[in-house]
Amino acid sequence: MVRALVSSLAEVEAEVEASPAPPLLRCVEGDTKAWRQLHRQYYPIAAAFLRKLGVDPRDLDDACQEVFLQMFRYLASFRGEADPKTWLYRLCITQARRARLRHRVTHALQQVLSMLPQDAFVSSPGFCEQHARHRIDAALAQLSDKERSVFVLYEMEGVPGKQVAEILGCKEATLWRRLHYARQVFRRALEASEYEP
Amino acid sequence: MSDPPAWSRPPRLSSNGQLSELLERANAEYRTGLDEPGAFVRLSERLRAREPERGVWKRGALAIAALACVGLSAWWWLPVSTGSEVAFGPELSTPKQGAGPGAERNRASGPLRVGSDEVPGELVERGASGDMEGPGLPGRHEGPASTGERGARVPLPAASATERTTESLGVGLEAPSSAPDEGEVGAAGHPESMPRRDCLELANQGEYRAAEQCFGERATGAGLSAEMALYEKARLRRDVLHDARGALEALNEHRVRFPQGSLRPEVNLSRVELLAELGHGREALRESEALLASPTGKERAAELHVLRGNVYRRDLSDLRAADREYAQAEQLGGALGAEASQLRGAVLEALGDVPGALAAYRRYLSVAGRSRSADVSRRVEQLSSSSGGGDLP
Repeated sequence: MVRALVSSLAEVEAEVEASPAPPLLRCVEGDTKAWRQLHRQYYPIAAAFLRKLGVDPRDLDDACQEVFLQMFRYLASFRGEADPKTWLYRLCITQARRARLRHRVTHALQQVLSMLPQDAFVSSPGFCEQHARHRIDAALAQLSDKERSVFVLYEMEGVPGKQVAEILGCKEATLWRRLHYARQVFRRALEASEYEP
Repeated sequence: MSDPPAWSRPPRLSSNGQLSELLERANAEYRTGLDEPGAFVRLSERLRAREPERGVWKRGALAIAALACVGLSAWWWLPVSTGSEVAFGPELSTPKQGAGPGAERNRASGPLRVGSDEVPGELVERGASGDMEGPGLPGRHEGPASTGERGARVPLPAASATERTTESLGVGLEAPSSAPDEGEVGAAGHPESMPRRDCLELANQGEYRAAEQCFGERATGAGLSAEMALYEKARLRRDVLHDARGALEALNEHRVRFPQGSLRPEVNLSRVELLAELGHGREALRESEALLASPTGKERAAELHVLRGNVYRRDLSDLRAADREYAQAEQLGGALGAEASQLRGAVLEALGDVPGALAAYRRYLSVAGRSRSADVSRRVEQLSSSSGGGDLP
């Protein structure tokens, strides 16, 4: 059954790759096969972005599903004028906020019930990438939600300033101000982590 | 915290050498370990699980919309039912009634004459006689039941049968649409908005091509109803139209569109049968082997072994392999097990193993009510006499 599923996914992928129209537009037109391609294209972006926004690994799957459910639900209203990534980032930011809130509530409850070990995170300094992510994660955790969104979008996702302002629904000047403060906090947190054992 | 500088686009941190490397490595790490195909499967399952719930809401919303439209149409008709003769349409106009909310729609709907004392209930009666056309509550279908009654406001005579059929298809009957021009809109619009037709009824009436098209239209959407319609289309092609190739195409489409569909086991089995029928023996063997390893395949193992035996026997002329398959089917017992005994007898006979063939035939005959008992008995007699006495184990 798994083999059959994989082969059918491969068939869909081969079929949708042959089509010239962007998958999102084909989804809007009702081409259900394009959903597969849409998911394949945007899932890694969404999942990585949600991680950067501080979504707990245990909540990542749910948050991603919510993002795509929202996307599919409102697909018909997508007019193709905006960059789909702008929309995706916006959905991710909303879901990340919800996931963080859920996580905070759950975490607090679990701590009260003494069910969660105090230090759940185990760093793996032996792996360069993991170590880098650990440090970046720790530094990002020092930022407020708004600062974090600006920082991640501009510095890590490489989204242009104008588009970041559009995603966050703020003026560009506000965006640069937030970024400035976010960088200061981020740098300080990063420097502090250098001296950690 | 220092004051921010003048607001201009700052250089990215990634242009800083040390930070750039750190961010790049972290970015790479953020993207690792993602199971995209798994996530898609889980998402599909969740979407499918939401469908029944959505269906209930959709039907509820449509029922409310229908009620609202009935109310609206009553409100619409009341102001125009006062004159001795009210004319709707560009060629006949009455200044008093022409200003009402329904006037614009009435003009668009063509000539329509109603008496002064007519109320919507009576309009239904006149509509049924076919002497008028115009707005109102149209029939849900434009199928045979309502043929020749364009715009007539009569309930379909076969409504209950329609309901049963649509339920059997997993297509919930939607509340009657209130849009007067639903037919036109549906024909040009999205398949979901097309008038509901009873595909099975069309097939039962012998309109197979129309039924095929009907199933095709239903199958364009998503969800269980589309999945079932696509499977029905394949069945119609295979069993009625004898278009094995077309049926296989429909099943292939089903596999691609509904990889986790509810009818997946049936589709897989039907595909194997069609592959064998079309002479794609090797592919049928491959597919059936994979199926036999699955829970569905285990449930239908006897069928699959017989089918595999047939492929080996007919397509590949590998009688030894065919015998092995039939033997496995025989061990599973049941009606198919008995059939396998008879087939095994024929294969063993062809292989020159007369005692084995006789034993297989006798096992077949030991099961009561077999359709080929007479033929097999004769064969047993012939083989027994030719092998000298017939005292075989």
